Amino acid sequence: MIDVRGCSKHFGSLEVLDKVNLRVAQGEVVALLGPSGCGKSTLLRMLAGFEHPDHGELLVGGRPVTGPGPDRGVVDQAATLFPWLSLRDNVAWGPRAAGRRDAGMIADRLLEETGLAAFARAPVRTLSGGMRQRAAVAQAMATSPPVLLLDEPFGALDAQTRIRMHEWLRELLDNRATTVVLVTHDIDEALMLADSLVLLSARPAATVAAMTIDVGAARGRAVLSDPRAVALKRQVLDALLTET
Amino acid sequence: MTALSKARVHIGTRARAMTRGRADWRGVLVPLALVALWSGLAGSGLVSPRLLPPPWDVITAIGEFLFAPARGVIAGVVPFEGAAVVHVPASVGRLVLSFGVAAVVGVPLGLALGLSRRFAAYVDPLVQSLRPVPIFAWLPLAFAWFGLGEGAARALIIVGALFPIVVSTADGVARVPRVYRERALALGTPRARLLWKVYLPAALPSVVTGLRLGVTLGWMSVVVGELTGTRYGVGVMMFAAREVGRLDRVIVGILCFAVLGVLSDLALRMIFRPFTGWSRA
Repeated sequence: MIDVRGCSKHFGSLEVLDKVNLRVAQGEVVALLGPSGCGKSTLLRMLAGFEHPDHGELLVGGRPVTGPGPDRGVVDQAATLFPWLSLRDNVAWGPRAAGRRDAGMIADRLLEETGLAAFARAPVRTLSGGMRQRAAVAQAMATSPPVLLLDEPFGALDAQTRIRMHEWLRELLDNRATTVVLVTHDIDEALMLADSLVLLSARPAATVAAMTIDVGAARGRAVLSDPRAVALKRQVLDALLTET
Repeated sequence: MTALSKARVHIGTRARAMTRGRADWRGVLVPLALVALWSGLAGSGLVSPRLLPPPWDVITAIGEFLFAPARGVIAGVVPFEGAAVVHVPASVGRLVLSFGVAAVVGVPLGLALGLSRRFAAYVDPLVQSLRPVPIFAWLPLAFAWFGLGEGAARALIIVGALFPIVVSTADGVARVPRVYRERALALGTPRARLLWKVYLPAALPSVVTGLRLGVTLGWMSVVVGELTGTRYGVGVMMFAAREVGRLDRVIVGILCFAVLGVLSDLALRMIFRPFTGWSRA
C-alpha cells in the first residue's frame, strides 16, 4: 500500500532523511519510532504530500505522491481543526469537498462513533484535548481514506486520557481496513496500536530495524503486560539508546 | 456535559459578564470626572467662556442643533439651529459611500498582498510608504484632481480608510496557520477554493479589525474632507462655528463625531460578530 524507496530530504544544509525505505501492507498499522528530531514527522509529511523528497520515490496505492489528497487522512499532535466551524461542520468538511450530499449524515455517524455526538454544534475552542483528538481522527476518517497518517496524535494528552485514546483508536481501526502510519516516541503507544515497528536512526534518519509486534490476541492495556511485548519493548529501547 | 463542566461554563459566563459590567462603569467614570472638572473651571471664572464654553452652554447648543426649528436657507450661511437633520446625514452619507469603496478595494488588495509574495514584492513597498502620509498632505492633490467640494472630500475619506483595511487584511491572511491550508488540501479541498474556505474565514477577525480602524480613520478624514468646500456636514458646521467664535457649537460637532464613530464601530462589530466569535478567548 505504501512504498518509500530511498527517500532523502534536506532543509538547507540540514540533512533530515537519508535514503529511507519503508513498506506498509494494506490494512497494516506501522509505528515509526526514533530519537527526537530524527525526521519521523518529515517522512510522514512527505507521505501526506506536504513535503517532497529531494531524492527517492514515494508510492501510495501504487501511485507516486505528488501532493496532499483525500486518500490520505492526516492527524497531528495539535489536532488541527477549523476553529470557525462547529464540530459537525469540521467532520463534514472532507465529504462536502468531495461533493457528497450525505456529508452531514457521515459526520453524524462518525461523531456518534467517536462519542462526540452531544457536542456536534459546539465550537472547537470549547472541546477538551481528548475530544479534539477524537474529532481530528473523525475528520480525517470522514472521507474513508485508505491511508491514515498519525503524527504523535496523543502526545499532548495526560497519561490516562492517552491510554483511553489508544484503546478507542485501536477499536476504531479494528473495524476498518485502513493502512496506518503512526509517528510516535512512545514505545507503549506503538505496542498498543501497531502491528509492526520501524526504527529510524538519529538525524539524518535512515531505517535501522523493522519488527513485528506479535502479541497474539492481546489488545489494549493488556498488551503492555504481555511478556512478548515486554521483551520487544526492551529490544526497542536498546536499539533507540544505541541510536542516540 | 457533566454537572461540573456545566458549573464551570456558568461561572465563566458570569465572570465575563461581571467583568464587562465593571468595565462599562469604569468607562463612564473618567468622562464624568472630566465634565465635573470642566464645569468647575467654567464656573470659577478662571477661563474665558469664549475659550472654554461651560457644559450647560454646550447642552443648550445640542438642543438647538437637534430640535430647534430650522431657519430658511440663507446664501453663504451654514445653518446650525435644527440643522442636525442636514449635517449629520451629509457626513454619514459621505463616510458610508467612501468607506464602502475603501472596503471593496482594500479587502481584496489586502488578501492579494497576504497571499502572494510576488504581488507583495511589487506592491507592498508602495503601500508601506504611502500609509504614514498624513491625510492633510493629500488635500492639495484632492483639490487639484477632484476640484472643490464633494469629489475631493470623498477621495480623502477613501484614502484615510483604505490603508488600515489593506494592512490589517494582509497581515491577517499572512498569519493564517499553514496547517489550515494543509488540512483543507488533505481533505480534498480544491486549491481554487482555499481563499473562500480557509483564508477568508481564518483571517476575518483581522479583516474586521482593519474595517474598524478604517471606519475610525474614515471619520477623521471626514473632518478634513469637509474642509474642501462641501456645503453640508458636521465638519462644515464646526468650521463655520469656529469662524464666528462659537466654540460651544464646535464642541457639539466633536460630540457628534464621537457618537457617530462609536455607533459605526458598534455596527461593524455587531454585523461581523456571528462570524468572528470563534476568535475570542
